[in-house]
Amino acid sequence: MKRLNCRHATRCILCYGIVSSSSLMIAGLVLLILVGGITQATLGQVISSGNSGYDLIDIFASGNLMVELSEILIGTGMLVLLAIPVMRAMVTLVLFTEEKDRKFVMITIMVLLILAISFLVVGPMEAGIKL
Amino acid sequence: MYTMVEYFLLMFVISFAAGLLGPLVGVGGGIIVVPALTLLFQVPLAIAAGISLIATIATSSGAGFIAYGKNSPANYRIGMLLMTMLGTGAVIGAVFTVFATRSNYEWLVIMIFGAVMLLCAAILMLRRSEDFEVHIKGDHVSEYLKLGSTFYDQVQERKIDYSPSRVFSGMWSMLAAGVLSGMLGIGGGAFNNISINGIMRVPLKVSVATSNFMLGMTAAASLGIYLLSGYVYPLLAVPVVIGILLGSFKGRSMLNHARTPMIRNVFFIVLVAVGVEMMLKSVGIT
Repeated sequence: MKRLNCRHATRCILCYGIVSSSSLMIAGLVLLILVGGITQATLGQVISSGNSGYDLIDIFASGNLMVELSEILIGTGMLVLLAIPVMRAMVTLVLFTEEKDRKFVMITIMVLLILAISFLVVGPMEAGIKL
Repeated sequence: MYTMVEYFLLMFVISFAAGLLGPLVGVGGGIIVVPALTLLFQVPLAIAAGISLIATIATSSGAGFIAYGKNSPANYRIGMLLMTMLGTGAVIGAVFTVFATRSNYEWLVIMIFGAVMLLCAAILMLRRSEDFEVHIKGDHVSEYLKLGSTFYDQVQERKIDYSPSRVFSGMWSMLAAGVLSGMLGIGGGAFNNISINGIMRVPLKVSVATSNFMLGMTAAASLGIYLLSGYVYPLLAVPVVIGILLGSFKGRSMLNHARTPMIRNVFFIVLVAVGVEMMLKSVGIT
């Protein structure tokens, strides 16, 4: 079986992750500015309106579809960014697995579990979501 | 009250400056962005922390990408071992801030932030860039887990062997660093380096690279809690992410030409002034 080049894989994750997430975020912001949904709102209004500020911008904007598209672009950009450290941990897991280092395979799985618990258990509990 | 356009422009400039300072003085990012958001824009601390954590992942990934162009001395074994404590601490810290914000104890988190800023200022002045004495023979935990390694130091033009000592102490200090990171939305690179270089006696270059490897994962661990609790505003994070990324790239290119001692002194004054301002805000004086 072909071994994974971890250095190359990590470099690709970091490069493509950073470029794609920042491009998506910039595209979403530019779209929002072009639609005009942002120029009339104040920061205080955005924060107090809830739904990460999009409800208010939706009201101000002339074309709602474009606002939704920008919301998707910015949100996806953020999720791609969030996935980078998780992917790095996964590549490290592959590295330790290939080295047959059982202790560090277990330790890396523990780190991935902490990340999973944060998103799937503690986060929903704090948000009041029923599991 | 600032309009969104004013917010985007001002926050881009501030974040660019924060990103620029990071590589030059070794402290930066969240420690500048969070006070700017809370003091200048009156953004609630939990939202500011969420925004800052997104930016931390971006800078950590950007710095990691640059480091991977060369031979990164990061030690993944040390990184992953410490991440177990750092990640746990980050989750505890984020839960604390969310709880404090909902229970009207936000002032307490702001006060802790002010104290941490003053601590960072003290570290900045006392530590300079000296490396602690490196241990070649580690403790029994280090030997058992084979944490020792070798890296090539381009300045000294030789290979340096090292093996961490006081691993348990380093792990406990990482738990504290993780709590601060998750609670305040800062990367906490300065605290990580105190643990890895100062306590475990790993060479500073390895410590910085390993800390950077861990920063993104630490931020991701606490960001999940802020995200699901409704404190992450991706729209507000866009100028911060872009500004801090561009700033950190520029900062790295200036590393060999900048007058670092002068920048360090100015940054020290800024940290003290803003730290005091945060303390005053926490008791309702400003």
